[in-house]
Amino acid sequence: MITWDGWVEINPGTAKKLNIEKGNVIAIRAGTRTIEAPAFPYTGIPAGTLAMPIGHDHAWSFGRYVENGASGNPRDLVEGQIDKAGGLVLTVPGVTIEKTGRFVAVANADGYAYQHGRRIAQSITLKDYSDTLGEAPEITLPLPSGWSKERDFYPAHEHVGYRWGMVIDLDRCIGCQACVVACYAENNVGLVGKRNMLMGRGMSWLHIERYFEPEQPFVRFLPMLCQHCDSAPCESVCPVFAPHHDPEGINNQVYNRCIGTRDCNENCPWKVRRFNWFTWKHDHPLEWQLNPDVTVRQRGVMEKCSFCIQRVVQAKAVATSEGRKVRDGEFTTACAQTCPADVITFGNLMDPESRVSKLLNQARGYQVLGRLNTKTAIIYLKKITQEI
Amino acid sequence: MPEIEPDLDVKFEDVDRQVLGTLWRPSLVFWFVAFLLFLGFSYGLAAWGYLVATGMGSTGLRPPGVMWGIFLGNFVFWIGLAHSGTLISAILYLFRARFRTSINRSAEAMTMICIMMAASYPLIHLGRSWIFYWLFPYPDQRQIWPDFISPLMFDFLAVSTYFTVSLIFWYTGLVPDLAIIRDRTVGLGRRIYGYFALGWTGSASQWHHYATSYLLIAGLATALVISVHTVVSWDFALPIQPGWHSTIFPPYFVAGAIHSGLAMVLTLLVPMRRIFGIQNIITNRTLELIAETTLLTGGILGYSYVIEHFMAWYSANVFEHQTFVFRATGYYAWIFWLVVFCAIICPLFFFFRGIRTSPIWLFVISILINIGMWWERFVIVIQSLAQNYLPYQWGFYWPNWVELAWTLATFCFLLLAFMLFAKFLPSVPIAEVKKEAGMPMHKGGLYREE
Repeated sequence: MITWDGWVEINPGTAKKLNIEKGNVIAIRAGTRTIEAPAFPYTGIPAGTLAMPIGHDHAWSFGRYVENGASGNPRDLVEGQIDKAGGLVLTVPGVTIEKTGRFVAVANADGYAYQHGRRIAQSITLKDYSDTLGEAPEITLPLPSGWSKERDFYPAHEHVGYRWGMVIDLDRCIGCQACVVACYAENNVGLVGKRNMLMGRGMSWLHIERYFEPEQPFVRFLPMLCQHCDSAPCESVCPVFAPHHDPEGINNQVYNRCIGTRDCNENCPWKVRRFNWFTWKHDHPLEWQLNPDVTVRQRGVMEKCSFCIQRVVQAKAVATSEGRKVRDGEFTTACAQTCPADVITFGNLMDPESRVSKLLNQARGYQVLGRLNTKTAIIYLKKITQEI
Repeated sequence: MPEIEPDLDVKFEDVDRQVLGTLWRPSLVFWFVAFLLFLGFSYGLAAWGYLVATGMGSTGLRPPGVMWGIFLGNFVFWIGLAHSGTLISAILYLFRARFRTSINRSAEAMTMICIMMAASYPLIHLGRSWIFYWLFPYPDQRQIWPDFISPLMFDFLAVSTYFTVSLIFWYTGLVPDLAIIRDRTVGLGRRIYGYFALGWTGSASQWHHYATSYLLIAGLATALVISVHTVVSWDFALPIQPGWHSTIFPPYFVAGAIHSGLAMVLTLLVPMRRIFGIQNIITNRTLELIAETTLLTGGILGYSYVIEHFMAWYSANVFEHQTFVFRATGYYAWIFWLVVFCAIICPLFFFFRGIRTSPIWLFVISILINIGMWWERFVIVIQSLAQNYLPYQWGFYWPNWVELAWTLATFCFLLLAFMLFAKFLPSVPIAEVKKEAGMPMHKGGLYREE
């Protein structure tokens, strides 16, 4: 989850033993070859081992955005032997490390890596999964059926034609973040630079939360994006109606109307709203990669996942011109389109025959923070675990 | 038992001379201090300009959790300060508490200044502050009104109502005194004071109307003392954040507001009465009574803290529970304990009569309470946001120079505006003090000066 410069991953136990903290630049020696990199203690690395991605330290080859000097390239440690398959041997045994006394801030996007007893990224054992096949999930759908007089003060929203929703199958997610990249490209999401990343100001509308657990599965990925609640906390606190609930259930953000109170984010339990702290620049010729179907935002307004509303509008326009309704799977969001493991499914919740409606109707379906009764439109499917 | 000091120790015929004496031509030191404060205020204005020119990113705000920083903490703090003025002038007036007479004018002036400063914070905090007027329900061609469900709208309406009523209340009380100054000055001053004195002559019918309207506005303002901070607390109680979403917030906020407001009254009055030499009008007894009131408000506040933590444990809600464990032991824990010490424990020393009758101790403890109450708002706003529902989103925030510059500027403005007020307007209500001082009977008839 590190966004700028290079780094070397080290087991937290080993780091503690050697008195190395996050950001301490360490010199790594293999024979006569030495490189330097800031340390990043990370639970996913076994004790006594270092790991580093190939390809850092390319300040000399790429122009204006790569900052120099933070990290060396592990290629410089490799002896140059070729393995039997014809590739470079990338394992370097017997390295020594030493603190240099310098410090480089490591811009990682995650706050805490543990769930602290919250059941956010959930799992289910294979046996429980088999036992509960065919049972209905305990979820509150963002449809009129999800509203009841006992729990809700306000009446249900009536949807016209469609109620867009998404199913995210945690059992399939490999945490590759291709969806995040796709979202940046599709929606003209701003790039903020290292200084602002260090202050948590990354603009990603969609991000992968990674949690470590003491029990199986030890690592859990949780793609997190706007939940498009039917009873959205953000909508009720805005004084100027900038978050707007549209007839198809999408929680729109009206950029022109936003005055930047940021109360919507403070009332969002998932904290998936992103604020434009500055007007993020797209230097020439980068403006040519902007998606012409999506506006760019100025400083001072809030933005967030729109369920790729430009694609929704386009699909409906095509369908209307052909005198029919949008067919299931006719279009999908950028994240769902890009996902290599088919984790994300997007579709119409009002159509009982749609893929989303069929997928969510299994016992492992759940909503993140569903207890809050906001009737989220993102239904997660629990990760299935098994003892081998 | 020691004899209780009188509320007032001044003769009727000395009131005019003594109070108007505070309006004499100020010394060079006065103007020097005023200039320094003006510089501090200008620095804040420059920082504000920089913020508008660059973007909210120039603050230290640390999303995704903490998008509300000390700007909002300051807002609650200043609105809180603004409470004691109306409490003293309106509620104590209705209860006929005589000790309020000598201090209500300055407490109200403090209220006015504090509301203005409080109102600056949500404004500076807006991402696009140049279109702040979209909060007004004004008719425009887009036919969009503000959302009256939003607690920010409640807030906007409550604060502007409070400001309007406080202004009218303050000005109503000022009219007879402005007439007294008008009668004692010449030239331009006479015309200015005379304009605002609204042709006051002190006739019986004028006094009759004055007393009736003052009573009515006092009744109206009393409701506002309770309502304003209740509404401000809804900014926090209505959202579903752990640490905010609690029904105890309205009474807890009102008590905290009055607590800090009374402390600020002490902070301003103790030096003022010494500089002006009016200890016989604002007596030790008056200050002592204010100190006793902070014992009550501090007690309510302490009780609220205990209840908050108890409920977090009793609810068995993992999010609430974690928030309050974090509050007492986590990253910002030293602030929480500083608040407990300054705002809850320090006022307990007022149980000792020797301390609550000593102006020095009153001043020291009132400063400590102010510090404690400022950090209390930091805890409520920022600590609750720093660790939220999803651990992935946690992060810690500290204000940077832009935010601190405007904070400094508002404190400078409070002192500067209070100094100017004390120099250009009677800081003690002359007419009311005269009433309390007792009408002297002279040679069988009403004594008339000159």
